[in-house]
Amino acid sequence: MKNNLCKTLVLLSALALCACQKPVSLAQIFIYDSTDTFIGSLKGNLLKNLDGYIAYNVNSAERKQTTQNEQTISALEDSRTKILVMNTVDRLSSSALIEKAEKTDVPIIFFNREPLPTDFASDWASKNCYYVGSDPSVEGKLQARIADQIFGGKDAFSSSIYDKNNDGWIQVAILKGEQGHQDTEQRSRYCVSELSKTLGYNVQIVSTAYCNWERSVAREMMKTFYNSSIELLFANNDDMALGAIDYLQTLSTSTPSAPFSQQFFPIIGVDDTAAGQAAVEAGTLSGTVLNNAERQASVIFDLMKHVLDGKEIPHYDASQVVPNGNFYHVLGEIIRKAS
Amino acid sequence: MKSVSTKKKLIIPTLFSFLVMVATMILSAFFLFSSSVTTITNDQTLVASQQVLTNYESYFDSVITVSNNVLGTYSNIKSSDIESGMGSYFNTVETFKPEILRMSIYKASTGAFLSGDTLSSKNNVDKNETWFSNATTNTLINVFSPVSTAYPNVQYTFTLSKYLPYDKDSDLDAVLKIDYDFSKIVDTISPATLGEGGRFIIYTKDYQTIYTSNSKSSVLTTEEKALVQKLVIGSTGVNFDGHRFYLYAATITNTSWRVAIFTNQDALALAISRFTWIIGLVGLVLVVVFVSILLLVADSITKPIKRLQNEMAEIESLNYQTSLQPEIQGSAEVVELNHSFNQMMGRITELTSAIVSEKEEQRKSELKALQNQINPHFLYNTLDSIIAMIDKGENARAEDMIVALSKFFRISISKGRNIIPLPNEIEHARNYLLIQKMRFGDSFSFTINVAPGLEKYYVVKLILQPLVENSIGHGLKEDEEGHIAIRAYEDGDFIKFEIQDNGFGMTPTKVDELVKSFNDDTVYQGVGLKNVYQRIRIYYGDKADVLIHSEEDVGTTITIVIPKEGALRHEE
Repeated sequence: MKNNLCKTLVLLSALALCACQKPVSLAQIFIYDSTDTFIGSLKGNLLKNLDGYIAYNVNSAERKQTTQNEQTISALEDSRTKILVMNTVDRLSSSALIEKAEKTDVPIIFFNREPLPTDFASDWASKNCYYVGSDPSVEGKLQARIADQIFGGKDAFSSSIYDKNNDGWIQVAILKGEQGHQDTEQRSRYCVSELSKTLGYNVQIVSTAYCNWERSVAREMMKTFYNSSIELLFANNDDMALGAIDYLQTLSTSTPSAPFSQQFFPIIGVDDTAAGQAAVEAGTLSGTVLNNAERQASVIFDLMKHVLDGKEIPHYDASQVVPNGNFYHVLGEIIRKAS
Repeated sequence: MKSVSTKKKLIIPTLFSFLVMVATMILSAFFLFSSSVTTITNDQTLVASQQVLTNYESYFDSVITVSNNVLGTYSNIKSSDIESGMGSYFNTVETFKPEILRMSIYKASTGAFLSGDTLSSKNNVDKNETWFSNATTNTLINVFSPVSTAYPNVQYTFTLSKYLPYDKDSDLDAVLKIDYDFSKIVDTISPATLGEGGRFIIYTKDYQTIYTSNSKSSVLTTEEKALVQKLVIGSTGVNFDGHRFYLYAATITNTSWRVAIFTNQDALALAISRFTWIIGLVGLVLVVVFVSILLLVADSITKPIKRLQNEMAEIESLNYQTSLQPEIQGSAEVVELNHSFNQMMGRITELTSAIVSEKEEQRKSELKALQNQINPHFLYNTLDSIIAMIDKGENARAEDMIVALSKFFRISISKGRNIIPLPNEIEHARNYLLIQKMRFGDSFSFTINVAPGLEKYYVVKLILQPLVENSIGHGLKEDEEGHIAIRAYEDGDFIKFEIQDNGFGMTPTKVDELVKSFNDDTVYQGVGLKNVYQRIRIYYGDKADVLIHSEEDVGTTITIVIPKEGALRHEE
């Protein structure tokens, strides 16, 4: 009995020693801001995948690229670091980060903030760097498709309740995210161009406003430019759409029993956050585009396994994931209230 | 195994431990100092470098804010208002942003002039110009390029260009061009703050130089490029151009530019080397002081021991008369040791002198006993001979004999002395020979030959007479006239006495037996010879000897050998 206990103790201490000496492989995950809802959910999904596969460490830069650079440097100095999973603060820093990682031959998988195609041009980068993100142009297009579904086609629009002034044109307002942000410009551009050029609507933009992705800013903005001529509102994300709704709900209308989209106008967001989803269910948000955090996380995980273990990258359904070189775009999906 | 002296035993381990201690102290002080001073300096330099970067980032941030504001304004403006509305907007912006030189927008599809501030040329631009083509290729980023037209009196400039989507009508998508005066921000860090050779460089991600404060070169030098390419981003210490630098490299947020700051750190190297010198000197002084103290202490402990040791060494060489130091200075143990040693030596001296005097007494009594072995029959026989002479009326001969006998006894007694002048001893033998000659009726003749210069020597008395007695008793043949010759002479360090007869002589076997008997107390042959031998050995030691040379039918010569040095003494 006592002998066995001794043996167990010796065995355990030997194991502990082995565990100490054996270098643990570490995945370093960098996010630009720990308070961003979408990034938070993407991170959550990714970490779920990583559990049991590789140890990880999450670094949050709190919107400072300098901080992220320092975090990257110290991660690369740690010999256990085998891969960087990087959501940059400033996507223009990607080239420097790639160059730095190449020195110690640590691959990088970027996500959400897209590097420039030229950043992946070097031999090393083309073998060791990947990007996973949504395709903001597709999201913009899907926003237009939602509008089309609501209006029932361009021919039906002019006779519908949605053409308030019966002029056959859609008077559109856009709540934009951050100035100069890729998603802002792409979503804003493609929702309009899809609606006019592909779907054939007559589109007139009456107002655009930058709201920095924020609900409270959107609410204030809505207050300043709201007028009865607006027939459709695109928001670059759900939060801003909800901000607009927050303001509209303070107004009284002549037809309080009608659907919210008819009392005012259809409002279409992007992301399908929890709050957005609730608003879709409540009928205040006419529709949103799912920025599929879960799928993006699983593509990141596939690429990590590819880079670390040489596992083959799966062939994705073209309607879900579109690879373009080392850039993997996860497509959005239309989310509307189930009828 | 060679034994080690107390001094070495004391000094070597102590000195060794001390040296190890001092070396450890110096090394750890050195490493602590240099690492902490390096850390502090590096931290300070890093903070300073980051501050510079922050200044630049906030500068570029404001640049980009301007660009974004233009973007927002443009996307909201009515298409009919573009030229005048944007123009006056630009003028307003320039009022608040003096660093802006020119602002203008061009149609993205053609390069046609759309609007600009009052100073702008209003000319259309070439779509292939870098700032224009880069903006139309990367529609989502702000493009930083060198200015296309130089501004007089402005040293550093750059152009920001940005694609402006026009949501309402994509035909009116535009390219924004802002020319910036870069000099003011550059001036915020003067090269002086970076130290000698320190420099500040802004370059693109392809290592094309945007700005360098290096007055010697307008672009990144090969050396600088190699250093920043190696580091990419972060910080490190580098050495070049004969200086030590702290190199900090970073990206400038929202631009694809990078910055490298070389801060001179010669002062750090100097501080470290100065510290090294000082601590080295302190260490040296410590060692010197310690060694001196150690030597003093060691000496104070070992010197008395050494002295004690020397005295003991004297004893080893059998000099018991070692003069004892009444008081040796030193540690308590050594003083105690010395005291005991002195007591021991005192006791030894007492004991040895007792033994010496005992021996002396013994020697004297032995000598006396041996001298007393002189045959008493000689006296009776001589007196009988004198009586016979008187009876015969030979009064004159009787008188001579009495005189000789008187002299003989006077010398024999010599007031009780054992050592007498050499001439007396010769005289003694002569008188003996005279007496015997008279007694035996001139049956033999004798000669006595003493080399001059021997008068000053002294000898043990009564050494010749027994040998002469032997010669007369055993050495003379009856049928021919006997002759006895006595010679005394110097031979090197020795004085020799020869007693030669022309008698029967002895066989070699007999001579051997006689010689053996000298040192054998159980043999009682040749009493006279042995007696003489033993006496001279007692008095003169090993150097004295009795030699026998004998030839049958030719005669015997006995030689007494005594050392001169012994013969100069005459005290007992």
